[in-house]
Amino acid sequence: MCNTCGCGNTTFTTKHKHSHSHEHHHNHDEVSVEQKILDFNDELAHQNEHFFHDNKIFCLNLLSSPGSGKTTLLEATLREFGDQFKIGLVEGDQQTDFDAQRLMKYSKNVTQINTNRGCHLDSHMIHHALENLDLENLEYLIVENVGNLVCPSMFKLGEAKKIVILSVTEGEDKPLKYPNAFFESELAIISKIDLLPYLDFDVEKCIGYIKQVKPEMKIILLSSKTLEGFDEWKNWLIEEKESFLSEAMHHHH
Amino acid sequence: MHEASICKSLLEMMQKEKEAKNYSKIYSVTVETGELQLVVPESLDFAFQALTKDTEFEGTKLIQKIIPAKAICKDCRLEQTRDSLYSECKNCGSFKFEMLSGMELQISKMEVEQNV
Repeated sequence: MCNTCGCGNTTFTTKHKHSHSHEHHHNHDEVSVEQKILDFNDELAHQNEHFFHDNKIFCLNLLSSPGSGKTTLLEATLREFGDQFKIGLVEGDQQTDFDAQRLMKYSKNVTQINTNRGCHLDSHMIHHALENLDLENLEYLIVENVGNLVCPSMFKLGEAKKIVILSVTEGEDKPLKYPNAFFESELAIISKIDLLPYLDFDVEKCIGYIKQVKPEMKIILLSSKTLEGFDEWKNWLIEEKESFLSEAMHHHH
Repeated sequence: MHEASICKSLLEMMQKEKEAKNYSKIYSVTVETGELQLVVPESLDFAFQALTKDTEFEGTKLIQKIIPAKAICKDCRLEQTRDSLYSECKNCGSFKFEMLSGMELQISKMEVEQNV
């Protein structure tokens, strides 16, 4: 039983039989409520955010379709920068710990969440995933969300930024087909660019579509195989973490 | 498919409200969803029927209202409706917008029976 979130308390009472007589008076009223339905998730996300601020952990939430190269990007990131940055990973999948197994070759600070029937991670899962990580040795926490361009974009986890990944094998029109994931993200990574010579993928058109949804989007093109674009990815990680830390200093609650 | 978890949150909120305000029954709940929010009304309705079966909320009516998407163009300042997150300004063709509405997901009201 979790004290912070009170989980385990979400069962509904079953319908009771009306055995009592209706002597007492009832008023049939319309009451205004005005509450956001995802308040519960958002509040816990906010608590996670506080935790990350206080512990100087820069948290990123990766969104993409299945097979866009998220795990391969993380493998290459750990391999290339793992000795310079303290990176921890949360792997979200419906089933299996294949991704965590792959990444454990490069880092011990990896934990897997299986959502089973769920199509997205939520702030509650992240809250508990933190129990399985070495938080003393953590500068970056990268959360690989369930491969799905729709649902995960609605659920805040407490991340500082969302990143959307789109591989060149998917087609350049994804940003318009699934605009919400792009609308919510601050960095778009176009991955697997080593395959461009073999495909009809129109990079300029894709960038145009992304900017249609989010004109101010930062876009990085990279290949986890040839490491093209990795300098830019590394710089982004360094600069954004720095501005997160100075923000966390000034905006202390 | 995330409509099921949205619905779970909705039911948790209804139960909290019911307990806090000591309502004896909730006849209906009105949910406002932004036009550009990722919620399919039919799926939410289906989840609501499935998740309330055999609970205290079986028979409670779910009323859904769609809130139109409105935005102000950051370049020419024209206020307008938007039919997607990638539609251009009807006046100047810009894609820079400040969204005013269309991303909501909230309970707005309930019809309840109050204990007196």
